[in-house]
Amino acid sequence: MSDEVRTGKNFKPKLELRNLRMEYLVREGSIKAVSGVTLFVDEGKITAIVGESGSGKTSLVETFLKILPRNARIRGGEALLRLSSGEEVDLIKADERTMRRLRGKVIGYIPQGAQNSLNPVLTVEQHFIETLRNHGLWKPESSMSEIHSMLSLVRLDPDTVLKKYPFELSGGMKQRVVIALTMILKPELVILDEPTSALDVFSQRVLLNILNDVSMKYRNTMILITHDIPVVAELADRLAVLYAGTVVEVGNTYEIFKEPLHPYTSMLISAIPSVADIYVKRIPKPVPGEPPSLLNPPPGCKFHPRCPYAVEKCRTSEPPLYEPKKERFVKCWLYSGGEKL
Amino acid sequence: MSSGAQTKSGLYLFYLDFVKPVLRSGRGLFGLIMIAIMILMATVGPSLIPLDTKLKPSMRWCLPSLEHPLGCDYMGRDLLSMVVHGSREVFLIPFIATIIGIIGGMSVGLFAGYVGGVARRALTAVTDVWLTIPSFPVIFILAYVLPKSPLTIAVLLALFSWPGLARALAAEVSSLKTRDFVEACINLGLSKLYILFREIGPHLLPFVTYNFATLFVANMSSLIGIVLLGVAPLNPTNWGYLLNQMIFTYKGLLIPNGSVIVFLMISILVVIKLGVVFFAQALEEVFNPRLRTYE
Amino acid sequence: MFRKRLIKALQSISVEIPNKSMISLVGESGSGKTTLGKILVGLVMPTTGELSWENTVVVKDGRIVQKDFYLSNRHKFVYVHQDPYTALNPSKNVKNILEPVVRKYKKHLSNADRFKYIRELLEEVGLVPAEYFIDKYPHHLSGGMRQRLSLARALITDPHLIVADEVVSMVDPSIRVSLINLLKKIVENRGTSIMFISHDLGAAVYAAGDNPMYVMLKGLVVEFGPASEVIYRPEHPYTRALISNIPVPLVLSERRVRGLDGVMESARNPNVSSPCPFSEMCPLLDSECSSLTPGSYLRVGPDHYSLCVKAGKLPKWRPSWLPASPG
Repeated sequence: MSDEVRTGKNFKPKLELRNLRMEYLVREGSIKAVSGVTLFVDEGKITAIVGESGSGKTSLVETFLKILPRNARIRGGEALLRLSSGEEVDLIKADERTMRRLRGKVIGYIPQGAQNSLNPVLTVEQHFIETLRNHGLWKPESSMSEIHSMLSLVRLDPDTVLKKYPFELSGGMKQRVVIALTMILKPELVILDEPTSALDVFSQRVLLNILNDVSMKYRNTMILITHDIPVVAELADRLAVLYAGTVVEVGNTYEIFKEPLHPYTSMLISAIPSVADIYVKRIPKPVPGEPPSLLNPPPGCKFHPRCPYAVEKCRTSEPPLYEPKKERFVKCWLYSGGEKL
Repeated sequence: MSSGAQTKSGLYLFYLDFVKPVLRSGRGLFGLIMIAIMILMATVGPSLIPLDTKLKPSMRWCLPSLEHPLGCDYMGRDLLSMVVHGSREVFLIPFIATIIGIIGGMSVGLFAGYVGGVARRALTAVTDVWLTIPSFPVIFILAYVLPKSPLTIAVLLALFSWPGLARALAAEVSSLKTRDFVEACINLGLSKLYILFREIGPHLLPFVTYNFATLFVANMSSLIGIVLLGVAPLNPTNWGYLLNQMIFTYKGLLIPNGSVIVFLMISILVVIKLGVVFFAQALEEVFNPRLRTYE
Repeated sequence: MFRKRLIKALQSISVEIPNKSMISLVGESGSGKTTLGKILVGLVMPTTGELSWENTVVVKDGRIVQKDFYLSNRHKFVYVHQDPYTALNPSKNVKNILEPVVRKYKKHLSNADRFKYIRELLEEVGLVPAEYFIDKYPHHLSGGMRQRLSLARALITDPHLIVADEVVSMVDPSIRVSLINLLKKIVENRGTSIMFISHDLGAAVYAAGDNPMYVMLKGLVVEFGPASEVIYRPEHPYTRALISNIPVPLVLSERRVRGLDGVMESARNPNVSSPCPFSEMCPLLDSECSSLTPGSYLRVGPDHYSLCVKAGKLPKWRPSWLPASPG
């Protein structure tokens, strides 16, 4: 599936995050988990949000899904969701009733470790029936065959799996059941948080294939959140790199891997040891320093303490998001020659 | 995530970690106040409020008023002064009993939990049997039979205080023993005693604190109970003795005003118990997050 | 063989750890790698078989044989846990975590010297400035820092062997390489041997380099040899399947999700029964495989061995992510 070319500003993204800010209040002060995230998620594409621990990726999702814990405070920004009906909703300003209407049927969310959230006393079949019923989508005539085809799509044999309880299934199988349960409601936007982290290599490979199949079949918009760089290389159309609560680079996955623009992106990709290293004669290089504290983030560009290209300006002021090439955004003073977003 | 928390002064951190959360929770605040009152009552109370020994039959069963905040007893004596003077015994005996019980329970529990195996099973069996013995009737009977002194009662109460804690501690230590950081210590050859007291020990603090509180109030009730039933007449200001006289000798429950005073007495007991338990609960909540690794 | 309440965690494992080098042990969870790691340091007793430290047999058939040697040497064989969150006592700060061990093994140090020693130790593992870290609690430290602290603690006994069990798995990707580099530095500077256990094949190969790497599956070692060899010329279908199916950051010309390569997705044909741990998923399974003997390996190269009965006769192979060679 090749990248469609955007034609000017008429193309509206499915989800538009603008300058989102959120912090957690803790006894030592406040943790600035999301500090100015601007990101456009295109319709029908798989966008990956990549970041390490403390980058704020899960916090970001919880912010626009409004499932934040009690000590969280949204400090600003908007999250515009454009529904297929034409309706536009700012998720940040939406009230709980609106959110409940959207969750499940419009926005599907598979959090980390979701395979453990299956109800141990219900069979797979009962899970499906309950889910459909809860959203008023249960149709006695057609739902069962829909369930069958959904399970086949995630490469599970319906006749074997439907009557089983969660404890009778392996981790990989449970993960697929969760995906099927989410997809049966046909949400327009699906968010997956670390879908492959607890899986072994083979299950992971199958899951990537399944996600690809699902994306091809339903053409929905997917957001994939992960710290596993190699996983996104294959699956994601677009990639957003998150560092210390802000987006530092966005663009087409292939192009970012071929030519990462932000120093962090470049160093991150080089720092990961891979089985391929011997084949291509590559030696991984570590990223110096430690991820910054979000309690007391460094001033200016948050990456500057670890950046080999840092200059005085980086220490004092945070760069804006530049667009040095079409559809490529970088938050770095190195690109200040280009267009500003 | 790295170096976030600046090292503030130790005292300020103590305040933030322990005092503030306790004060913030309704229970903690209530409990703290209750305990403060208890301590005041037992220490300076008797000096501040003289014991009313004047018998004024005309004032008997008088209801709470400005002059007599808790009303009067069956002889017209100010109840508040009786309560305050009786508090020493009512608090001290259970306190001592609980301390002995805790020490005993900890010794058995820590040993059984850490050593494990046959020893643990044997000790658990013993504690289980002990636990099934109905403590109150036994204490009751023994108190009647044995020489009646505060020390005897304290020992009797202690005798039944230790098994509960022992059993729970054994289980807790048993499970803590399997934690990674304990395994690391074993691997590095650190001594068993060291691991037990310096590594596992701090984790047991919330546990023991809570048990201390619940044991204390249980012992307090037992003490008042046996005195109430007339088994061990100790100090005449002992609340149990007061209740004994009120209910049995002077038939307070048959008199409208009398019933009020009796229930007032009982309510005081309930409120104090609640206060202590609430405080312990608040403390436990405070201890636990600190021991849970958070990031 | 090792039995643990009727679950066979390991069968017929023979592993040799050379002096002054870092070797890798690769396997998914359930492969038995942690059990093996713990056996090597004496935390777990094997049911049968021999364990030797420094060429002296210490454990044989489930019991300790050279008791004195065992007791006086066991602190030289240390284990570093995977989870940096549970391996450190949360109620103790850095100083109190290290000091008891220093007191025990460096008795000769005076108070001042002890402090100096701890400071140098922290510097060695990269926790600088030491003064800053000395009073911090585990929850103040990041995952990578905690692992460095666990490592520091393990170094106090001047160990012969460190078993590093998944020490980089719960650490950020950008930090992993620097931790592995620290391990390499420790091998070089102190002459300690390290067994690097991981499920991450890339990290394991980087750690071992040209030193041996053992690939484990369901309690058996299926292939072992110099890591660079095993990765480049794998001679076991499982190793090949692992290499092929791992996502790699190499970028292909268009977004293309690779299919499962070298593994049978659905249940295998039950007619052939084989003790081979990969038999249920191996596309090459046939009657020859039932003759497999766990523990007997075929030599496929210098110091390179495979458990597969077809080793040396396997079809030509290249990883599915390698672009087709030009021309």
